[in-house]
Amino acid sequence: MAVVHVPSLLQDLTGGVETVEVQVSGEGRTSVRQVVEELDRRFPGFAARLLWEDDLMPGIAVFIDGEQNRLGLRAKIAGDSQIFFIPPVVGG
Amino acid sequence: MEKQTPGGRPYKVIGTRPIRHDGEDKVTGRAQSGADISFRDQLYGKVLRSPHPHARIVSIDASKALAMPGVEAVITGAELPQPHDRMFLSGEGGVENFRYVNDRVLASGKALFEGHPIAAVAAKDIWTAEEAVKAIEVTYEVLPAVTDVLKAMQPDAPLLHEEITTETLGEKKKESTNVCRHTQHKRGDVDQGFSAADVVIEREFTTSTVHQGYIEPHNATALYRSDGQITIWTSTQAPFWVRRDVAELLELPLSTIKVVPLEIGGGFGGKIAVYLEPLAVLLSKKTGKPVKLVMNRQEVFLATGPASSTATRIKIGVKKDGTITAAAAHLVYEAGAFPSNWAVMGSMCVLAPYKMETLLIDAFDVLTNTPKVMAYRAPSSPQAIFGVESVLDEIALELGMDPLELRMKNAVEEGDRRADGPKFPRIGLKETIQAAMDSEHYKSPAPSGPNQSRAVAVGFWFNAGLQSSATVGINMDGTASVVTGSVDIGGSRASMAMMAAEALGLKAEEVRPSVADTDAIGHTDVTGGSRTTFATGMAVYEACQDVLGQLKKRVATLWELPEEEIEFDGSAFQHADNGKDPMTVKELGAKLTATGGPVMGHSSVAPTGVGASFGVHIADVEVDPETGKVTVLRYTVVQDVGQAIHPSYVEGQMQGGAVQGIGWALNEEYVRNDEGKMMNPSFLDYRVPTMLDVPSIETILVEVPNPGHPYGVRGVGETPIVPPLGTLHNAIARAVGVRMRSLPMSPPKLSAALQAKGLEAIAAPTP
Repeated sequence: MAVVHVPSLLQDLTGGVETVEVQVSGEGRTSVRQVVEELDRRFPGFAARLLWEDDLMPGIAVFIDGEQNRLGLRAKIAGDSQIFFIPPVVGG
Repeated sequence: MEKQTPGGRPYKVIGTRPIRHDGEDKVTGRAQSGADISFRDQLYGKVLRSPHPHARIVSIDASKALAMPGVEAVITGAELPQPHDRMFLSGEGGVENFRYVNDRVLASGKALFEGHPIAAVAAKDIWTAEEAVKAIEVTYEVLPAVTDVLKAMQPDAPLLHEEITTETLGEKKKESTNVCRHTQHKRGDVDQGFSAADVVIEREFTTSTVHQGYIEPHNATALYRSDGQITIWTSTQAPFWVRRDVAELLELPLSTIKVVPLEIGGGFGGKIAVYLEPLAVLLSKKTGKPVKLVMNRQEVFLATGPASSTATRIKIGVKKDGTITAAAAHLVYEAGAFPSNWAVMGSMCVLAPYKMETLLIDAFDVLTNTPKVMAYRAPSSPQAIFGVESVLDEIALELGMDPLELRMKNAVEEGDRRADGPKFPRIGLKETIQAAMDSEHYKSPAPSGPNQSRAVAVGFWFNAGLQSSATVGINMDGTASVVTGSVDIGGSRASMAMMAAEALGLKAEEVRPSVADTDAIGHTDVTGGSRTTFATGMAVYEACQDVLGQLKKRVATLWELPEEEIEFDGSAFQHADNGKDPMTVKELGAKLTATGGPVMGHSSVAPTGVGASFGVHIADVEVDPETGKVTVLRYTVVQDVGQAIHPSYVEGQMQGGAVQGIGWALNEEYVRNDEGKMMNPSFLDYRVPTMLDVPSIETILVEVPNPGHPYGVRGVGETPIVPPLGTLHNAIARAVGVRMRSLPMSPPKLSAALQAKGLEAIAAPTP
């Protein structure tokens, strides 16, 4: 099972639950988009808070197993992936 | 193993200290900067700026200016295409809306900060342009201004933008406010965490607005040709981003714009955004001539983006053995006049160096009538970590623990989660703390004279990856050229040449590195985020692998052997059994024409595998109790630098960052009057450290290679600005028993605090 770490500002939707396990259908076949859709089914309103048009909300990136993945919603996850939705980093 | 190439052989070039390739141009002044650009028919531009921090622009009448001899054009905000919403990645760890870039470049409707551009003039010379600017008549309706972040959060504060409400993750509040963003990170039950602590300390801190203080002012020269093709010569950290921003603002295709980055006289994050470039293009379009604009120092201070002032509250709980059980951070960051993401970045840095089961971080970006805050070296990390390091120093004293032991006990390592979530890959905080403990400085007796002491603090920066491109060409004599799109701020030409030399088996001086304009290389993101040696270096490495693949085919042709049987061992191409002498890249150069022609390698990368960086600083100080002047007696920077490509430039980054941090801690601040106007917009009154203010900064390079890079590179340039704030604060507190908790700890502020405490207490400090 992949684990989604729910952003604290979305935990009002999950009843304060910090992590949610998500079933991965096949190695490398499940996308972040499918994960968000699944979370939206379980916690209505989740997608609306995280998505903007056909992508992640501006200023939010998906980190899979510690690495930012620029494919965003199209990124694939593994069965034991740890998924975070946090801002990207640039710097000065 | 750690000091070897990916092929398992010892480094030959990496880790050495060759003379930098651009050194002579720099020290002789031959290097071409923006101010050096000149054309026969060039015009000079000047910007009219708002004298008011907040005012409605009732009318602008430029007729008198336009009637002046020698004045060729005047532009106002009305000349820009209508602002539109479009989000883009900016140099601040997040996104920005072009609507507000448009308004920042030339005001429309309201002036939102002192120095806000209202109009711009092009004239035959700079004196005429300056006089013409004075002849433009602007009628303002002056509005109440707010420049303090805490006051700006109040419900009755003057509003900068009626349309802005607080944005949290995916939600917008309904009420108009200056609090443009709220960010939160939470782990576990923080109240329970504090209940489990034996010692809990909570303190409030403030820091002032500070500027990057680069020596070269902003400049831009643009030529808008009659065929619609545009060239911009400018001093920037991000030529491809300048091209993007100008194209977006003026609604032009990227292909019509070429940006030529000139030698840069410092940036530190402050030369990422566009200021003058769109104005130069518009003025050139109107006049049909090249137009050059150069800011003066006052304009740089008033109208370009400094680093946020902050108000923070830090609470940390520990067990008697020093184990952190919980931490909470409340961070308020100045955004300036337009929405920013600085508190977001601060929230991700503030507790990053330490592991803990429970934490709560709330961060707020707040609009103020000040220039829009921009990146400054490890943006947002210094202000956030300053408070944490001060509280930890108090905790160490309370527990009677060595301050480095306390930090070692709680230091993050590979596999620990960052405060904002993801796990750290291989990092070197523990090795860095240990190196500090083992250092001659830390082991030597602490200064024990009156009002003297020693203290430490930790710093952190993520480092970035983004996108880079490089080409590597083999010359007909077997030497090489390396072309990248990364502006060289800190010696990156030398680093690129050295990595290419290492890969190709050449000497560093046999590789000529150069920085290309936006027409001559693939897209390359900003020189910033301590990413250039990592990401552009990765592109150079990959381009070299491309070259080596092509050269192997040439060797196969020459030796009439299958390509698969030939190997490159880092020095030369070899074949195990053919009895031929190994062939070096140098030797192959002369054979390229006969074997198929020139060889060029190309690479464009968007690498993962970024390695974060940590540092520990040690400072010995002495405070003059009468004047409040702080003398830094000794200062050591210890940092995990991954694999140092050119150790001298790594040391230079560490020393430079430390000096900027020392300035931030002790002297630098925007001083504003009651109207919100800056009172010290010059280097005479805005006090950056000089050679006389700092000792020789000692450096200790801790090399924990980043496994995400073929040569173990992790960025080094930003982390060293983070620890000085806490280090000096703690050292002063331990020396004179006063915890300022407010930066800068300048002589007037420190002497006032000492007088308030009383000289008796100073004689027996209890920090």
